[in-house]
Amino acid sequence: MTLRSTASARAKVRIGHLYGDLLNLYADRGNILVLTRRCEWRHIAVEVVSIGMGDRIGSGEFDLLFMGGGQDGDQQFLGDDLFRVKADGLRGAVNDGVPVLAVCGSYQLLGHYYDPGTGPRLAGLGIFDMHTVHPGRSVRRCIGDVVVDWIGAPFRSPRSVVGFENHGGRTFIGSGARAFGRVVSGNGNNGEDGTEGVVQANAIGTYLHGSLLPKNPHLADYLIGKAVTRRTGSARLEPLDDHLEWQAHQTILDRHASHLAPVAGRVKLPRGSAR
Amino acid sequence: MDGLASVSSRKWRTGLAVAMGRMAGWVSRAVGRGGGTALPGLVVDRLDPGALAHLSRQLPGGVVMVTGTNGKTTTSHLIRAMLEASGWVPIHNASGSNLTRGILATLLRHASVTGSLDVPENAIGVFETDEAAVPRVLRDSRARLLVVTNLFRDQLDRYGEVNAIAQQWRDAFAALPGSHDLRLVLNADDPTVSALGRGLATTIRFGIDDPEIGRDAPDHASDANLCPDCGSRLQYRRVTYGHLGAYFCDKGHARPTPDVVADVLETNGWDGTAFTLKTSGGARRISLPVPGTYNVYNAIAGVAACAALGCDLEPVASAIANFHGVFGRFERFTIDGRRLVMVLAKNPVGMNEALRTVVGRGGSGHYVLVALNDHDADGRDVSWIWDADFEILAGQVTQLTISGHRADDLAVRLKYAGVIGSIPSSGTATVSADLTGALDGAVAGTPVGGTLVAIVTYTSMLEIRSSLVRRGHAKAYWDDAGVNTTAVVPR
Ligand SMILES: [Zn+2]
Repeated sequence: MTLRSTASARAKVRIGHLYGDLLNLYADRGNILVLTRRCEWRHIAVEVVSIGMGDRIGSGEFDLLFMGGGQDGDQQFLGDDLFRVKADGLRGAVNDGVPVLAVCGSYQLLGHYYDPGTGPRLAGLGIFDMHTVHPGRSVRRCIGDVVVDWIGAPFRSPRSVVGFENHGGRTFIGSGARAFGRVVSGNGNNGEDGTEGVVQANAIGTYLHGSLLPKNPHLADYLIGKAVTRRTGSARLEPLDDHLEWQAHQTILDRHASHLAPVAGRVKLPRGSAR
Repeated sequence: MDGLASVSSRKWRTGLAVAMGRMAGWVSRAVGRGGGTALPGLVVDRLDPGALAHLSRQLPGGVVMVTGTNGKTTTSHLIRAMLEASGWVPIHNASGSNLTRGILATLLRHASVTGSLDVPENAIGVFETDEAAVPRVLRDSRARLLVVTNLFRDQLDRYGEVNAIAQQWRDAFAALPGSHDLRLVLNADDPTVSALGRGLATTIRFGIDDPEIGRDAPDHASDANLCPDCGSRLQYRRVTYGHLGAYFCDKGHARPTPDVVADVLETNGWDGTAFTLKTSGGARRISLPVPGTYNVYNAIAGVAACAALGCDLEPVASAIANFHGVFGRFERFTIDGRRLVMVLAKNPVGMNEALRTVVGRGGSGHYVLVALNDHDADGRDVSWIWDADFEILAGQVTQLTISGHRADDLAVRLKYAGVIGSIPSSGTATVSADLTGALDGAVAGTPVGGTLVAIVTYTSMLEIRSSLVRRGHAKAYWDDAGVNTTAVVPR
């Protein structure tokens, strides 16, 4: 998928979609679509490059990296490629401050290891200081809507992030690691310690899909802002009309976290009409 | 005589469970809970876990199971109609209650309190079976045929992933006793499904051969990226629907030649599809009165099943020509001079097929309602809407109505698909969680003589249907047990 904006001569923002043709479970496409459309609506030239099997991640090549879910077999299939071909470039990009979003299955892959409960541990890339343990098939999966308080939310940004989780594995972050959010409703990393996801430099790992970015335009713009800054040195993103996005966000808050102030307090929410 | 004693105690136990199950069903209806289709089955299964095996093995014609992600209800109804036309008496869980309890409830209606099944000599079981229930029902019923329509990404919060389901089934096949003579009826065009028959000589496969239909690449929602034989990437000469089509890998594995083929498809919009049916018995032209490529698959799945049972082609073909769809999957209504076409779409592939049928007739200016609910029966995770290709509606719609409990999510999806922004200034886009009100508004906004297409998830279909029944636009649907299944909208 390659999308180009014609209205600007500025340098193109390059978004790398890791294994875009293999890891497309849980509607990861929605995240990519939101990132590209929100650039295009602002006349920011953007290009999405699928980083497939055998492709390396060159230094400085991408301004934003996205990695999604996948079927179990798919992840085993790409394991070798992940370690031999992608690992160095991915680690380098994270250290270099490239914004990264890794959701669900790929979030687990970027930790130290995944312990399936039966059989040997599967090594991860160790980019995130965390590990995942599957408690066994008899323990219920973590499934449902999630509301988190985004710890690193930018100043004056809404802090709530909403999504849907569906994972068997329980993830535990290291003592020095920063969580992406505090769980307000739902399970998050493990259903015990109240953390959700992990943040390392500008890389975010999270269990939230649904898709994640459509209902969280502030998070989408946070990632876009980091990417544009890398490309052009500065980023002042024009505001967009996000009333549909915030309405969908608010619906989840109303269901699960009605004690929170309306997140979109600064945004008018007209109801009953799309335009 | 140990054997005799255990047989009679088995009968006694099943008989008692049957009586209790009957009572539970009667009580449920008497207190007006309705929708009690499966409750007696649940009670019996709890009291006597051996009842399913005991009762289903008494069916003289044996059992045909029908499973798969999409189309199992329609296919099982088609097989039922084909078998009836061929002189069989199908015992069929027609309401679509397809877990063990629903199948048991169907058997109970023919069971006596002595634990025996009171059915004619030409009775045969047609069991629509939920993907997750396949291992248990297969083992207990000793089904002679298992028909698999396809395996798509459905409701991941309920089922798990496509590969995991296929593995569970393979494990179940491997665990069957040697005396269990099972034949598989498989979709040749679905790589994962077709591979279930690997190494089994008796498998019958069906597929679509028409080189004119379909596309070059799988849908975004594709689930079968890898060759089931060697794990390398699959490529396609042609994609008919979802990830179904003429696939191959560069190690030389490829779609097997099907035994039952549909060719030269000619679509007639919402009125159906004509196709040439090719079997070992020759070729003939058939008109299927329900729309969509997916229904052609359902029809040839049924033909393949009937061929495996030794039915003649003539009555089978006439059953197809007289088939008018299944409650709630696809229905047409007339409301105040407008045609309402209601299509069920519960996953990306089903949604894509519905969207393609909307725009497939050409022209633009369509009147469309899309409703998304997130009850258990719909799937609580609505992520899948991002895998459906709503983009093809952009520029095609004059009146767009977005409804259901997750109308807001759907509105965001349709915004990013470019559909909302493409509606002409003379048109409308409305978002309202109130489905009945949204439907009324959408009907009123459709010109007299025009067509409103409603694409809906399962519980939104039930909501729309009960609203239409209340106002006399539709008949209530009564299942075989005399239970009005449209009266209750599950929460
Ligand atoms: Zn192969």
